[in-house]
Amino acid sequence: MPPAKPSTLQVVLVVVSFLSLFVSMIILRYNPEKSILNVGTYAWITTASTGVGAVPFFFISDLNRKWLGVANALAGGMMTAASLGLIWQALEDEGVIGTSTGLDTGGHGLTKVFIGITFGVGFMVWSKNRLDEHGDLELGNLQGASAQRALLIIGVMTLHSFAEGLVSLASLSYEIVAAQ
Amino acid sequence: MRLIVTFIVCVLCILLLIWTTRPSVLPSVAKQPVSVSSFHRPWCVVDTINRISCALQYSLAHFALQAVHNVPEGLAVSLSLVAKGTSAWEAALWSIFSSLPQVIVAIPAFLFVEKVVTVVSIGLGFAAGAMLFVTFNVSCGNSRRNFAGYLLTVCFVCRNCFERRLMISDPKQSWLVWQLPPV
Repeated sequence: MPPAKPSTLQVVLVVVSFLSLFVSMIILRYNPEKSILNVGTYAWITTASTGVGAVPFFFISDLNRKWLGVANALAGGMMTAASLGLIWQALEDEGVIGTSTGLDTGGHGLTKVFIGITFGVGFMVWSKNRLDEHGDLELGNLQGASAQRALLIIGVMTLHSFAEGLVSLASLSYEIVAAQ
Repeated sequence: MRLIVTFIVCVLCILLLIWTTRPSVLPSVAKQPVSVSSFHRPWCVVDTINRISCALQYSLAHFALQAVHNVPEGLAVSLSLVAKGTSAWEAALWSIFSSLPQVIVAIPAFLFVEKVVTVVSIGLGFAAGAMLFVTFNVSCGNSRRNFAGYLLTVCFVCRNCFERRLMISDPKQSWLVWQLPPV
């Protein structure tokens, strides 16, 4: 199907965020000492660079069925590997596996990770049931099942970036505090 | 017109990359040459790729490690939207939206580091469980026929995740975002 036409506001927002990526990189380059402003700039760079992932689709006008399958496999594999990596990293931070990172995380490492996984799966089951109850979803120009699927993926990516932002920024600010 | 814009953007990106990887910025580990003794080993290709990407990551680590990591996530999000006929611009906006929590979380994470560190693993487990559920419930349902591609991607990304651990042997070099510094 032909792609929907973007509104001017969308185009402006995307262009501004891509430009801000360059600007904030240059700001960080000339302002190397680590402060609370710098942490915010780091966070904005990580956020805006997610939009770069959409760049290939500016040039691919129509996806046929074969490439759709390949791309789906790509996305699924990426998500599986990323979640395994997250579990690995959590265990490593807790000192369960690998060399000690020297962090005082308060113990109960395995239990905490297990609780997290259980709650994560449970939350997704719960929210999928809620979504199934409302069959007539709308997300932009999507409706029904496709809107549900897109919403699930966006939701899970948002959740996962919460945890990821926590861990990366916490370690960054940990460095800053340790350096002072 | 579109081609010209693409060209300019590519040139800008390459210039930025060259600028950030200039020798004075690189730490000593990334400047080490690829060990010649491993060239006859079967994993020399992987080793070389690891070296190159590690050098890139070291040079970018000041400000862009997490950013590099986020690009494929944006790809996954915008793929699920574009495949159903959303425009690429809107998909880009949605994928930026899906990373907005990182900005929201930044200030509390900076202010309450000691408190945050104790809950981080719960959050990581939560995210991992949710992602696994979505992969097996939603993504795999459509990509069952491309199981080989799926496995290949898993292997590739796992290599990408663990290469940092393979490369970083000196704990003093662990100022990467991925590995926390010993105190």
